[in-house]
Parts: sequence; structure tokens; C-alpha cells
Amino acid sequence: MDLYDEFADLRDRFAIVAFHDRSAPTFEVLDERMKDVIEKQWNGRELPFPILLDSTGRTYRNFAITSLGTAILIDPQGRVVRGAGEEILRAELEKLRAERGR
Amino acid sequence: MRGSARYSNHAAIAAAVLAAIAAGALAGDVRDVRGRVVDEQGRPVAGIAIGTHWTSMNGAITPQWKSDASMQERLTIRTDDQGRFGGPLYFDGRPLALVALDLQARRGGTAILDPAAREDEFTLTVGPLVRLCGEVRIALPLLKDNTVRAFIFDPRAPIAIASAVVEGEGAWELLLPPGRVKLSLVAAELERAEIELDLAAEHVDAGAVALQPTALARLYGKEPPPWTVTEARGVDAGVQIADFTGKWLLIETWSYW
Repeated sequence: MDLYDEFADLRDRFAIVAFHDRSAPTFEVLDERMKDVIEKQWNGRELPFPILLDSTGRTYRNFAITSLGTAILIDPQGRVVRGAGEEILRAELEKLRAERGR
Repeated sequence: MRGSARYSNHAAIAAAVLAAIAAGALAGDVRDVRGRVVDEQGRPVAGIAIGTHWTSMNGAITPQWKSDASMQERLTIRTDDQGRFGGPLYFDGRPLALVALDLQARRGGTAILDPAAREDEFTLTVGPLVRLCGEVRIALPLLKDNTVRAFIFDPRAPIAIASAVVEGEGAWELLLPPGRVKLSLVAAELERAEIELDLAAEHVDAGAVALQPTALARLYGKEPPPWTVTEARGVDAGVQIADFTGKWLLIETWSYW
């Protein structure tokens, strides 16, 4: 969420989606569970970017996601980037911002 | 002695762990345990250190004793002149292994504590240690900078009793009590490899194990597989990864448990 807010000026260059695992098969289930978190931890604010659900679990299997909190970064050419997605994206966006500032 | 590698399914393990947590099976508590360490002739062993997990880093093997859920508090537990020891011990609801090691005298032992049993004092018998060694290889050159952890499990308890760290490829070694163990080699971008070993000789060689990239690591630099979206908010449910071409796309994975 911090990244999304911090680089609001570069929204045309990046997108963030939250992809939920199958523990929340529908929004009905997710909303009920998230009520408390949104209220107590996020100061009433909902996630500002799209949320995707996959009740089949196929996506997590195909991407071999085993540790939660893994962030997968896809570059503008559509290729998977190695490493810690958030940190790499932050560095790339800082580069883009520096270029724009020139 | 050489073991054969068996590759486990991460997703199945993660799912099983989550299911166990959801079922409340891992309700933890701290309990005072008392024990006594004796040698194979039944004589008390003084000054021996006991831990729930032994780590090996840069040649130093040190015990950790988990006395609370967060592992914030670190205790060093040693036996007194009568071979007795005790202290607060954190149980997560599953059997827990305690390991005593005396690296100078090269002896050690393991005892399994059942969280359901309420024995007043248990006995841990130490015998000659076994030197277990092995070698890590990494199948994909790009991934050779991974940190690999070699975890040792007693098959009777689910928490590792010891671990060693290997930066990239290389040899590792641990001094362990005799008995059956499971070796698990774990790294962020590599498939876990598991080998069962019987530490029945003075020196056991687990051999060289070539770790394979995870399915995710195999995707590095390539197009990702399509995702499956059954419901979406903030975007059309028919959205594909390719729709984001030209932009950086960060897919945050997320779960609730």
C-alpha cells in the first residue's frame, strides 16, 4: 500500500494487484474476515488496488507460491523478475522518477 | 552410507500447516520441565548443554532453548553436578525433541517430550556423537547465490533439532546424537530435498545433493503462466497478465488464516 501511495505520480507505469489464495474463495468470505483488519489496522481504508480471487487454487499452484507474502514482479516486457518484487519495483520507480524529473 | 533424495511438495506442506493452525492444533503453552542426563552406564553427566535446536554457523555449534512462543528469551541450560537440569519450555502442542551435546567429550543424546505426558522428570541418555556431512549443489547457475539451510529432524518430532547454513554450493557438517534422522535442505528459490538417514556409524556421509529450482525460479526471465481469476474487485474478472504489458506489474500474494 505504501508503494502505491508513494509513487502516485507514476501510476501509468506500474500496477499492483492483490491475489488472494483459495482460503478466501469469494468476496463474501473475504469481506467478513477483513472487517476487523481494515478497521483496526488500516484505519478504515480498503486496499486501493484491485483484488483478485481464485477459488480453484490453480494460480498459486502454477506460480508455485509456497511462502505467503511472496510478491511476484513482472517487467514491462511481461517477464518474471527474479528477487524481492517490492524492493525491485521501488528501485525501478525511483529510477523512472529521476528520469522524469530531468 | 548414502541416502536417496526425495522431493517433497511445498504446497501440500503449507496447506497442511495452515489446516493444522486453523484447527487450533498448535495451541502453545510454557511448561517447566525437569530432566536428568546420564551416560550409557547410567552415571550423571555434569555441565552438558541442552537445547531444543542446535545451530552450526562458522564452525560454532550453539544451543537454543525455546522458552516462549516468540523465541525472544534465550536461555542456556546446563546440567548440574547430579546431571539435573530444568527450565521453562515452550510447547506448541506437538512432541518436542531435546538434544544434549558435549562437543569436547563428543557425546550427546536426544529425548522426545510428549506434550500430553505429565512426567515429573525424564532421563536423557548420551552416547558417542556422529559426524554427519554432506554437500550442496545447485542445479541452475543463476541460483548459486542462495543460502541453503540443512535442517535435521528427529522423525518423532516435527521441529528441527539442528541446522547448518551453506552459502551457495559447498560442504556442511554437523555433530549429532546417534539415531534415525531426516535431513531437509531448504532455500528460498530451490525445491526442498529430504533424505532419511540412520546415524549408526561414527561418520555418516549424506552425499552431494543437487537442489532443483522451484517452479517460480524456473520462470525467471520468462513469461509467467496464465492466472485463474474467479472473482475480481477494482478490475474486470477477465483481466489477463498480458493486459499489463508496458507497465511493471506487482502481484502481491495474500492469505488469511
